[in-house]
Amino acid sequence: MDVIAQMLHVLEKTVSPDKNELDAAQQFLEQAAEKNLPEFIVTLSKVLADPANSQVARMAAGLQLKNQLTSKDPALQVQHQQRWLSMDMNIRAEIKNNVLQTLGTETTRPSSAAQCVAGIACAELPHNQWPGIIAHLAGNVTAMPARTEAVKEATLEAIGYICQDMDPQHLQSEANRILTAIVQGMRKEEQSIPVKLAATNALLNSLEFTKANFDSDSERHFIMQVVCEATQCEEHQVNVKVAALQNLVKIMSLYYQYMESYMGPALFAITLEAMKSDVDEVALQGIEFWSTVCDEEVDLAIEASEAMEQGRPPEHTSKFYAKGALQYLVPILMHTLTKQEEFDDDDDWNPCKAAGVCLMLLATCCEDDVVKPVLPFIQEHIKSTDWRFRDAAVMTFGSILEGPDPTTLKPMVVAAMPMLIELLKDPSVVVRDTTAWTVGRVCELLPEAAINESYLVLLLTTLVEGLDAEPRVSANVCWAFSSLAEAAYDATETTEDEPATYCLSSSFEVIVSKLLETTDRADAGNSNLRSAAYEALMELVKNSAKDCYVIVQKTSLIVMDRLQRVLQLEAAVQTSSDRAQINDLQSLLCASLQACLRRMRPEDTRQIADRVMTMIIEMLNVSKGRSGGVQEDALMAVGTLVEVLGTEFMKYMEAFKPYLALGLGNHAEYQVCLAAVGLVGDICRALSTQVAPYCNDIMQLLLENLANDSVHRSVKPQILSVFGDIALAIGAEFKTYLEVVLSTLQQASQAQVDKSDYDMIDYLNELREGCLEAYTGIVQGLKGDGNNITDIAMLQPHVAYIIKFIEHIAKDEDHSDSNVCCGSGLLGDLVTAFGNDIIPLVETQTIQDFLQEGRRSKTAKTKTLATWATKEIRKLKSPWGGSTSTDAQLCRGSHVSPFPASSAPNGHVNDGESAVDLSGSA
Amino acid sequence: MDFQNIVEILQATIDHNVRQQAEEKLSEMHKIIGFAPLLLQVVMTDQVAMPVRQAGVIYLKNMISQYWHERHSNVGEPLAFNIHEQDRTLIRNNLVEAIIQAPDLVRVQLGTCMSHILKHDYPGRWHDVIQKLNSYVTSDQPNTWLGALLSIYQLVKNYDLSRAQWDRYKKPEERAPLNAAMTVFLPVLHQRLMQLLPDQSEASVLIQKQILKIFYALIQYFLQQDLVTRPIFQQWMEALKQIMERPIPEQTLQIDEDERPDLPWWKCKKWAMHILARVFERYGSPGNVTKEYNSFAEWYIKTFSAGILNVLLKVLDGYRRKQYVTPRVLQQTLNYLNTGVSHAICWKVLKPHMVDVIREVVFPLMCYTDEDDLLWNEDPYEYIRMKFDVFEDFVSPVTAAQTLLHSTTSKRKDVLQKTMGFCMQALTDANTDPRQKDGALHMIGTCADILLKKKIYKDQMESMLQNYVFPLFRNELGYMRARACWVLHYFCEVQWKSEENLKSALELVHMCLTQEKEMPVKVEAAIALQMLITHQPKAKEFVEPHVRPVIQELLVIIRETENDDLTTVMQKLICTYTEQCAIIAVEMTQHLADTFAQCIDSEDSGNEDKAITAMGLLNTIETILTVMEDHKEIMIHLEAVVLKVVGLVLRQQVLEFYEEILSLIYSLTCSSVSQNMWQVLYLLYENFKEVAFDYFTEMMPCLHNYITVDTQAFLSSPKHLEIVYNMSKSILTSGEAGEDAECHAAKLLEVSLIQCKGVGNIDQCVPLFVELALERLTREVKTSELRTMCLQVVIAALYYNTPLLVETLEKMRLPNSSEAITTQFISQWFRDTDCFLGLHDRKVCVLGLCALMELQTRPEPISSAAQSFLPALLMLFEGLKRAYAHKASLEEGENDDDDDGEDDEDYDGEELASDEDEIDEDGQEYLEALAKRAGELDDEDWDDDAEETPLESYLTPLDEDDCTVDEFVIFKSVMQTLQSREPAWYNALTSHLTADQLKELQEVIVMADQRQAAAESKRIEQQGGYQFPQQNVPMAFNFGTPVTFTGGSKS
Repeated sequence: MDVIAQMLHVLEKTVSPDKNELDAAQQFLEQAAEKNLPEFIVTLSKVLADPANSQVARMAAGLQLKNQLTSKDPALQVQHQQRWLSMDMNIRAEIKNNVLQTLGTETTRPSSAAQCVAGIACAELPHNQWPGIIAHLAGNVTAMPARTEAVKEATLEAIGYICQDMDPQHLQSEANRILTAIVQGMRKEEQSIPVKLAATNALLNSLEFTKANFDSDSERHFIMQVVCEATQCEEHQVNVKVAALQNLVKIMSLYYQYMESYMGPALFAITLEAMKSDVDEVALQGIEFWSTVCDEEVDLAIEASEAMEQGRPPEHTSKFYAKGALQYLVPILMHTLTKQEEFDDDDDWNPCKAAGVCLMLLATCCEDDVVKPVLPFIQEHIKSTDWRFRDAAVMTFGSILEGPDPTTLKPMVVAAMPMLIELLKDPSVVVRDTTAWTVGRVCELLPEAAINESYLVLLLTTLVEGLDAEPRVSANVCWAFSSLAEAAYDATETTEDEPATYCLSSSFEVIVSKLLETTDRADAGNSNLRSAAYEALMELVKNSAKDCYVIVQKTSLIVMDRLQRVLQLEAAVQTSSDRAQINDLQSLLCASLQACLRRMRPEDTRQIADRVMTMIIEMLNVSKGRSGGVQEDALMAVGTLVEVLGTEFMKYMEAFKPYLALGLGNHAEYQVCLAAVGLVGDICRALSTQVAPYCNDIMQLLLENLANDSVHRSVKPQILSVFGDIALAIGAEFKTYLEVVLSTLQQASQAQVDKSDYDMIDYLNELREGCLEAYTGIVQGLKGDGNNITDIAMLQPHVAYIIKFIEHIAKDEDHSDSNVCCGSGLLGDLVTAFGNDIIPLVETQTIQDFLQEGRRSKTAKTKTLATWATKEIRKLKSPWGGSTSTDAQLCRGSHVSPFPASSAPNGHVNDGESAVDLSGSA
Repeated sequence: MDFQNIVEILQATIDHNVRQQAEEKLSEMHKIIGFAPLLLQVVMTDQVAMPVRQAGVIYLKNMISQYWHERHSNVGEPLAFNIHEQDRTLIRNNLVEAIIQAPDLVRVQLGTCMSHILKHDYPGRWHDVIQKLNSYVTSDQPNTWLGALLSIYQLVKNYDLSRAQWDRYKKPEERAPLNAAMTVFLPVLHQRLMQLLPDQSEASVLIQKQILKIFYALIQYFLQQDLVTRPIFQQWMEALKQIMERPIPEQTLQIDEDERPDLPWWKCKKWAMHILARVFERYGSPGNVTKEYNSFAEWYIKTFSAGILNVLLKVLDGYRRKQYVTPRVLQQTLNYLNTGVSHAICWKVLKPHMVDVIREVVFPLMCYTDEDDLLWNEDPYEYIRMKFDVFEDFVSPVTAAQTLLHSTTSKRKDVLQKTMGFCMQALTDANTDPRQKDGALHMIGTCADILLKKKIYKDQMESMLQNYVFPLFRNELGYMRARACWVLHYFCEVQWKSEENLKSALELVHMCLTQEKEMPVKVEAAIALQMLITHQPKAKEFVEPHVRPVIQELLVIIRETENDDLTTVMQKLICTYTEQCAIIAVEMTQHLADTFAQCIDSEDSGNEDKAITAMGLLNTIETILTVMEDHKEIMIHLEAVVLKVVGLVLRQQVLEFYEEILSLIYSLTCSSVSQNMWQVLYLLYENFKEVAFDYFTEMMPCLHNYITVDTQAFLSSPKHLEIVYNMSKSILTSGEAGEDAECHAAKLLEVSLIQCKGVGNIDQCVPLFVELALERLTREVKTSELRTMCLQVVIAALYYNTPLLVETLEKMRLPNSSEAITTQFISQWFRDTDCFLGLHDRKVCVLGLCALMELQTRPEPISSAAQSFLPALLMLFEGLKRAYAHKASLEEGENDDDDDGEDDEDYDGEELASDEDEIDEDGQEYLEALAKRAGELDDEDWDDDAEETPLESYLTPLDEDDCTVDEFVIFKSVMQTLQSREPAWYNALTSHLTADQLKELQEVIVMADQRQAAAESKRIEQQGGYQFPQQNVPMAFNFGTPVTFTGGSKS
């Protein structure tokens, strides 16, 4: 059989309903491609080009051809393109010729040939090959006498694909041709709707590289005219209309500064009319247009205020379209809000939802101005008998809570709260849902208005009842509780670690138990209700006053019981959805447990420690390699436990060790790895010298991670810092690792990054901070409590390098405050450890300026450390230089600097000082 | 005129009946050559009666201070008199001897003469005075020493400068004459001192004291390390130590305690102490000194501090063993210790003794004393005056004890704990004497801010107040009740857990204020109330129902005590309770006005405290005016009351209140000017002519208001403008006002011109104003500020009416010149464009240059300056960009300041370990800031000031935030106009520009567009957003003609 015929046959089978035939065809094609790709593609192009072949075969040929050129995977795409470019010029020319000929000959839509043309163009144009292609395509559209409608349509599609897929920089030189072709297709006079549609879509894709055309007044006028005309197509051309409106949206975001000539005379009216359209797609674009205007104007407002702060005019200015249009937009948007669907699918984007978003953006953009136009609607409809109107009123209210001045909003919100509380019990689930969301926003954005004595109790009761509502409603209620807990805690204004009581104390128990109940609801899997309820629970525990302690304690027991039960379910897991559910649950329970442990008194924690550890180890055991989330949460919970238990954690080390190693080795899920590294730090601080027997293994894993490129970069600074923790913990025994660690640090401290990338600057600072912390730990560790001359002497040869490193940081103007903080601390430690010998090294202007920067820092810790380091230096220079007096050590405990390398959390009471009883009440 | 004749006339001046004639005779005689030397001869003749000699020396002193220096007189005026050089030589040749021989009563005045003469004649006309003085100091005749030393003291004092003047003399060459002298004297003085030390006779000790005073004057503000080298310094320190160590002769104990501080032995110690304390604090504290003393401080503290502290601890040890020590010596000793607390090296010495010092020196000082009690009972008003006297704080050992207590408890470990233990014991022990309880509470209050920061104490403070302080409010002893109020005041920031306690505190204080009989208690109560309202958010609400009676009571107390701190209390109440005060504002103001009238009418109106109080009253009135500004109807009544006060002061011409009165007038003219206030303008003018010439700069804000607040009304009477012109003229032509006042005068003219543009026609003034300004430029001008201000008057006229100004200039001639003044003006202007600084001046300068460029018919001098325009403008625009940025950063800075406070709270300064020095970074930053402000340390700092000039606070319409006159935009439009209208002129202006300048020009044009766009944007925002008239979709879209796409490239 002739090659073509065979190929035709196979291609037709690619749509065969018979699975065997299908597989065979597929296999044949793969083999053909493998055997001789150029020949394969040439054949495909021939099939595609011949109008005599069946449409099925041609389409399949096109598809196969295209797949040889493009891929969704960017790496693969590059490979394909390089493979194509390496093929023989003549073969490529033949293929190109074939696909170009095909344009306009296909009867199916969309054109496969157009995709092939685009695929080839995208491979060749960046390398300055296929020079005439754009001219050729443009000619197809503009030639006189005109080519067929089908040619024009397919060509415009091809242009559209090219514009969409190619980096705009390679098209700039062709912009004029492309634009001419597109505009030709879009003209009012163009009779063919498909041509118009293809042209309009192509324009949408070309907007980014036609900046030069937009910069020219007359050219821009023309483009805008064509686009505006396209928005006014007849009813049956609705697709064109939508595409034209999409163009307007994108033009607004790209060329805001040029829009003044069109906004007043045209765009305002066009988009307003679109918003009112009964066709959802049209209305959506109308709303989207104004959302875009808001986005732009919010950015411009930021630019204006930055410029104002610097006393110069901004480069771009706002024309305040949104503000001017507010009075016209608001009624339409609110009307749109009343078109909600009763049984809404969350994923469905519709004008009603878009209107809500647009209203929020308008509030952010226009701030106080938004209040006045929306108020009448809210007042009129919030008690409407039609649920749609009630819901729209609440939605409107909720949408404008962010933007206007809180002092303006507060009285309004306080006045509205009783009504909102009532609406939480509305017969309509939609209204209840929206109301719960609105209450949540109030709690988050205007906490002072939420915590109002006159209705707080009622609010809390009603919210608790709301937890029984439909999942979507109660999920929002949970969110409200989360915000409320934080707000209530902040409102105590206490300077203590924990306030004695707060406004949620009396309802705390009820809320917590109801939340626990909610997590157990049969339908808690819907609308994310279960995790929302656990989140709320955690926030409540985290933000609890002293008088809620008993409940917190009880909660911890309940959480543990649940964990136990979940672990028992492990065996029953069958489906992957079961699996996912169980994993989520374990994560949530771990996180909740951690929240409780953070709040619990050490003596109470100790009592449950065995149980906690047993469960966590079991959990880590079963989840091994399955769920990163569970592992991460479990490791963090262990971290909390370690902090509380201190050396008592030793008894779990042997059993726990393998799981720690597992975490450290989890390169694929870097959050797990990060949590494990952090846990190493916790353990070192807690166990001190007792951790030594485990250090070999740990050090090995850490060093491996540092050397491994596939380990996420964010883990590395943390590893460096953990070296410091280890050194501090095991003191002199760190000698074993000293050489390798010091050389690692030397490497890391010399890292350089691309300074134009802010993220990389941050990363570099983190990396350096890690080094500084490591050095600090090593210095403090080797020096130990006494003056261990021999150990610390091992570091002597490196001191000059370390100080040079600090100088290097000091000279980098991008250094962070915490760099200054750690650097100052390290200097202080070096000086106390090495004494007079290194004074000349730190007396340089760079170091002195660096310390001064620290002393003047606004961060208390930096200020303290820099001041301390300065004092240490000065002390050495004083007559008794070098000797450390006894009470200096007394007041700082075992470590020399006021904040050891990784400072333990709060909880230290002033040591060495006892209070005199002044109360007189005793 | 002979010897006897003068003796007789002087005699007559003492006699009431013939004094006037005698004085007239003297003033007839004083210009005769030979009069002054003869007068000196009279003064120095022992046979002449002492009162006559005294009268003579006073006359001599006045003559020398008025007529010694050469004065320049203006052309046409009679030649100003000054003492003839022949007489001056005679006096110089005899003055040193005269001082040596003169009796004490005469000597003081001669010393003043000496000072004047040295100021003008040394070293120029009198370089040999050094040698002469040296010969007397080194002479073996002890009776010549004191006189010579007094003279040297006058010499040094002439260089003894306060901080503000300091930078002017910082330049080494300015101090060269002093150095020349002191290089000679310092070794001599030290030698003499050492020689005299063993001699404890009164005469010897007096001379020692004088030597110390000279040394103190030398180092008080500036320690010249090349003059006072380390070896020299070390010698002096040794001597001082000896003086502090040696005992005071026994016989002094026979003398009444009140008089002992005046004994030479104690005075000698006092000066030694002054030097020690000063040197340590200012130059010897590492970390707390300016850069140039860093190394000195390190050396000082290592070499001397411990030794001196040991000596001082002995002094204190004596004091606690009830040996007498004078208050000043005690105070300075405590100050020295206080400086030492921050330094480890000193703390090591102090630490073992500190508890004893606190218990046995500080504590007794802080207790209520017999003297206190005497004063409280005999003259409670004087008691109040003394306790609130800020000057008293500088000398009081009690304040020094308080300061020392505060710094040791806050900076050093354990001290607070021990102190509090001691105090609590005193408080809880039933047998403690009430006065000791007072002392304990005084100490606790002193440490209040530290206690409130410490975790372990702060929670207990509320119950401490409740249990120990609240009951004292009912104590029968007045001073205990006063102390109770005082303690509450110091603990005003305590966090009350119980609202009831706060309420009680306020009630108790309120009770003390309104129902108390003893005035000192009421005063303390008032201040405590103010503090509580300021620091307790809830207090405002609790006090609210009582505001009216409280204010009324306070008015009475103020009237009776005339205490300045209470007017601050009143101001706080007014600002806190604006609404309640509005009701009684008029009544209050009336009351304050009455008290004020009483204050200045009373007999001892010269008394300084009364003056301070009277000023406080005026400030309170001003506060009321400021707070009530928006209540128009009340302001009308207030104005009537305040006008009486204003009238009183202006008619009686009580100059010392002019500043306050002018502030009141300013407040009354800020938003509108009533008929009555226009009358005040006339009154001001009369005052200006008669007595207040020197108050012109202080009048400026009022005058600015008169011109700018209601310009229509201002222009409605030609008299108003005439007053402004006449005042400015009188300042600018007098030659005596000083250049600062002259700048203000020119500014006033400039403001008038800019303000009146577009409002009214003042064309007739333009020639007068311009002439005045240009005329001033023909005489010597020292500062570039005055030069630019005068130019700016002309430029403002140019802005006001360009053709008129050009015409005016063309008509004007310089004296002795036939050429129009235009040329000089233009060339001077271009020479000085770099002196236009700040926002306003640069903007006016740009607008002026633009107006000149745009002229259709250009006088020749303008055309020939073509190449100067753009370089000048580009520089001005660069400056403007910086000035706008600077202004913005200032506004930013204001916002930032709020955040700073909070951070400080987090950083509650930890105590220092024994071997630590305090690092006072804030202090260091402050010193640096001071040093920067003091002058042109380097050019960079100076540049910063150039972005804002002091006079630009007198706003004109050009300086409003929403001013529509934008210099960038105007410049751009002028350039565009010229380009099309007069290409040749445009070319002349621009053709010579360098590539860099062209680039700058382009940037200015871009900036102009951006500023225009920003202004347009602001306009749109203010009109309520973009206006959309077209709400229907048009039938057709046509934004321009169809084109072919070229992407902007011209093809």
